[in-house]
Amino acid sequence: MLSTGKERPKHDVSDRMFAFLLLLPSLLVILFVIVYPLALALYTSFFRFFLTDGRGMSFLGVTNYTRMLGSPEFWKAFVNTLVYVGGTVLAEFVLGFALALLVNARFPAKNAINSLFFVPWIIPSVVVAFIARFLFFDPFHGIVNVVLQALGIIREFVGWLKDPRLAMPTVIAATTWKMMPFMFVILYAGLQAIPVEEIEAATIDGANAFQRFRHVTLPNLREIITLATILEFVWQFQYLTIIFTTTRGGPIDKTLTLPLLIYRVSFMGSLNMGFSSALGVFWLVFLLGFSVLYVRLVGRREA
Amino acid sequence: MKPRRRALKTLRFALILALLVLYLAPLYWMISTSFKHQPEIFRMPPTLVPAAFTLDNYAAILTGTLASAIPFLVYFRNSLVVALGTVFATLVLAAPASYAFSRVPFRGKRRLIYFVLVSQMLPVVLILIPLYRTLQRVRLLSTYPGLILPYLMLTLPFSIWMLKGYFDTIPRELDEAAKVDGCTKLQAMLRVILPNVKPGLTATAIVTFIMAWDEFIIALTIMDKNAMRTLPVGMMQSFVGEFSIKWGEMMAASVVTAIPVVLIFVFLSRYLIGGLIAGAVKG
Repeated sequence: MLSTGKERPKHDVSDRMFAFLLLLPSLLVILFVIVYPLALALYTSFFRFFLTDGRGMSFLGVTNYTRMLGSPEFWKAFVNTLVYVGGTVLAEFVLGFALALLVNARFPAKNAINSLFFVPWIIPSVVVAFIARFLFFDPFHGIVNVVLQALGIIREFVGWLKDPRLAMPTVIAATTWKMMPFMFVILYAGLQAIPVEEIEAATIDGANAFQRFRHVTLPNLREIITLATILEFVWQFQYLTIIFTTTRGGPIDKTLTLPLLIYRVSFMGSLNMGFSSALGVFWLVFLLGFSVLYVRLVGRREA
Repeated sequence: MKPRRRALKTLRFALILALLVLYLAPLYWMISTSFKHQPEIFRMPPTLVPAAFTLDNYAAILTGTLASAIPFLVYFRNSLVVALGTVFATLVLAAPASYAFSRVPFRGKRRLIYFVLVSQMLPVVLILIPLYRTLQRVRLLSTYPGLILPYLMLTLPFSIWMLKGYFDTIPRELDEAAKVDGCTKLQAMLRVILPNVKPGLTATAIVTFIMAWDEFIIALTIMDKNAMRTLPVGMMQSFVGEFSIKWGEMMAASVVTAIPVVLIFVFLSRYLIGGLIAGAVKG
């Protein structure tokens, strides 16, 4: 062969054309299912538009937004979302990190045990919600009550999902149970990637376990922790299946979150699309900062 | 020093096992309950192992009908079609796109990658409102493609990103070798590089399947005909809001719903976990 290794067969397409053809189908789909509806939602948020009354759209300016900011329901849902998402991500992180540190050692059947810790993550959300209802509530107010009473922690049976003070912590617990393995595997992978030499060097320097954690483990994991936390925070904002199938936002709106409120306004009751779009746009803008931060960090890792 | 160390090791192992048992106890309780008769489910104190083992709950959900006269198996089939369809569409779209991002030089690539990354972080319910109306206009409500299409908004950006990570790990020398052998760009991609990212394709397929199998709110909105409902929505409407819930059947339905993803996990967990890590934090 006389080829120099740099030549292409003459009829081959250019790089630009090739990339264009490879990307076109995906970009068209993203345009159709994400960009176009998003633009439409943005547009709708400035209009009066009820799906029910057949009067079509009329321009409102920022009225939907001012109404939103004056709506106690919106503020309630926003605060609830922050509590739900913040509580879940924090619990996931603390438990997932503790577990990752605990299993970061040699012990029998390690791979099998680590895999078993991951199982709740794959269990469908509706199943998790069903189990939660069964454990916390029925029959006879649930096995959780029976166990806690036997242990002497509670004296009388508690309606976990029906008590306005307990409903939110209970759905946070159920969501954390399902989502924790994600944090666990990511932090565990992070721990595994820490160079052994760094730990050995610290040990030789006389660092105790806590000092090693503080000065070797944490700095090495900082970026992964930031990335995983942002990603979970943004994703959990969407997540409504467990609340939808256990409390439906109740009791007395104590577990009403933003996605649930938007769903309620758009698809049940008044079908006020302008108002629900405004709610969604607020959420989008609120999370944009987190998304940008995530993309920047990932971009830096890639470079 | 040494015996103390061994004691610590044993203690650690015992703690790990205890936590595992505690963590998976809810799943055990679901399975155990699914094999009990209703009176035993209500018995006090509760029985840890079914005293009178029964398959009635399974028989009831697999042969009988749930609420609204729709058999559980119809929901199951709908879920399976939608999940497999989503996997197929996602792979066909994401593989070429991520290949381009990983290996073909072009202008504006970085910006486009960021665009894809951000597009997986947008509010789904917000997008769902206009999407619902668009799908209504093109008469895709309550059809399989009408649900698979919106699912791509969840799966496609993540999959493109995840697969790109896998393509990035394939050495560039392989491209050069293909070039020397006279492969066109398309041949190099299909015959040389793509077979090397099979683990990545497997991981993407699994994550996509699990996402589609789990999804609830889009399915609730798009599938407004009961016969087209997927498992999560069908189950929710069959078991929630009734006055006397049949807990045994509800737990049996839960077990059956979890089986496909658990099976996938048993055989392919290695790919799944590797893929998740690649998609979330690696480049």
